[in-house]
Amino acid sequence: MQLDAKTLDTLAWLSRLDIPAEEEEALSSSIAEMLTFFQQLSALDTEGVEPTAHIAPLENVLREDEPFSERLDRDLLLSGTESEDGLITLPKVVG
Amino acid sequence: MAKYESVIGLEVHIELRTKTKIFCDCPADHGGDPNTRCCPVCMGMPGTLPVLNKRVVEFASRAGMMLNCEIAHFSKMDRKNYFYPDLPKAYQISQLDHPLCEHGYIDINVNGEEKRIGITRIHIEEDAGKLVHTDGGSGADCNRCGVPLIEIVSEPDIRTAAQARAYLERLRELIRWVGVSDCQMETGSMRCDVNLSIRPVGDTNLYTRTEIKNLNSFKHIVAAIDAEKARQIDETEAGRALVQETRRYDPEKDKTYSMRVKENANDYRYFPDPDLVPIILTDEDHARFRAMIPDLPEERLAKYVNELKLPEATAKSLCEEPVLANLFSAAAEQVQQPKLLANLMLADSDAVSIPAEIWTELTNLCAANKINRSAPAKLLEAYRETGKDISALVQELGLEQVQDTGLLNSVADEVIAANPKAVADYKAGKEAAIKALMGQIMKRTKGAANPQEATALLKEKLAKL
Repeated sequence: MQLDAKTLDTLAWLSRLDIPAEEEEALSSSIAEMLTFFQQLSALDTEGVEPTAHIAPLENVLREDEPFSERLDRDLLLSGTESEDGLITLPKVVG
Repeated sequence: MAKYESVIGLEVHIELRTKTKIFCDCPADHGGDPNTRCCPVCMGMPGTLPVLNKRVVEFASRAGMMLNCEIAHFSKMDRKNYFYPDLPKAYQISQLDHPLCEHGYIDINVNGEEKRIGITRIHIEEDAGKLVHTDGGSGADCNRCGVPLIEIVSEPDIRTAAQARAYLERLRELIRWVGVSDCQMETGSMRCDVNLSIRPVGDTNLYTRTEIKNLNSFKHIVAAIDAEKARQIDETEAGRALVQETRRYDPEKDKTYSMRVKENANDYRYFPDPDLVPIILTDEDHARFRAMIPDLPEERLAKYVNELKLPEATAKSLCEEPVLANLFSAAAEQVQQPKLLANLMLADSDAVSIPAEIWTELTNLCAANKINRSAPAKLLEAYRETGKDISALVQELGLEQVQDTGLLNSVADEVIAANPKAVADYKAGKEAAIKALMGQIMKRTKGAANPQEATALLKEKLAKL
């Protein structure tokens, strides 16, 4: 299995990763190796097998539509991030 | 210009009016200071787990049934991956290959021409947060993260801006009617994206389409469709190829412009969400939802006019507000005079806050002349304040209409004895003088006397003098 430079580029962009040029080759072959494992899985005959939606034998795990009365304090909620006036601070997105 | 037609499909997002969000128990309604209606789950903090809100499944199924869809027996949630600062998890929980509802339709009528617009699918998903842009930078407010949405995707069956508008108006009417959303474009509880391509009239192929996003009024949707169709025709006539892309509509310039910032096509890399297990709906679940589907709004209106004999204007006022119409229907089952009930309800500015049985009781008391016609407003006010039984309030406030002819008799005698001048005037032919005597009777009975009965009694007594 081969992974061309363009695909690696796309993957990096989708993941918002800057990959240093000297790491590209090692990463390419490592991902290619992973894809080879999947190729092995693809060799299995899955004719007539229902696609698996979830590995746990569970269904309909649902909750009632009732609000929880005690809310977490905003200062606590935002304590792990930079914030100003209750808003989570971000790099400038628009304009 | 008639040689091209537009091929339009609409994607409509509607917020479901549940109490809590789709995957956590934060309140789902609008408002609140930034980041006060969120929790580690909807903010996508590591280690948290979403749990699906039962009512979202019910509301979305009901919406689907109202739009003639087939409801799934097996449905599941998927992750749609993309980066945007209003999406803290960097994926949106949505549905890809097993949406809750499929294969529906809406019938519309434009200038007398009937047309059926197909609905491809309706799926459930979570809303993203909001970005607030300031001079210094941008801030994220997660209050809207995880608010439940349904996305209703139409078939590319729409040909004109007028049809698009008719489709959206009917869609809004039906979703409001089934009671799962208020569908307000102004507040964002209903949003619409337009997919549009053009083709020569008579051609049945589909060509390159563009998507116009973030349209926030029916007026802009109509204008954007016309502007984008004109642009695509110009491009095609000039021999330039159209590009599949996302565009925005600028109402000031009445033009669409490209939003494309990156050359790379986005790839959402959907996969089944391992945190959420499949949704299985049985025939019994379907029947339970089906039982909650009301008749169509026009059927209800006809029933009010033809069976309950309401004036059309009254019936229309009731049907404009689905919650009010349903309350009226519930209360009307137990009353003999539905018109009186309708008038009482429409005279109240917040009728929906009063239970059906209270409306029934009030109407029946009025109809039986047990309370006078000005009593309902006083009783409703007192009921809102105290929550006491209507019958108790009637007693407490002395609002009973006097049925006791013995009492009325003696009050009339007292009034005649106490007002010799008015009596003399009346006897001298001044009929209006009886009003002064009536006024005294109403005063002494605190308005509880039945005016017709009291007048008749007075006239009888005066004639005998």
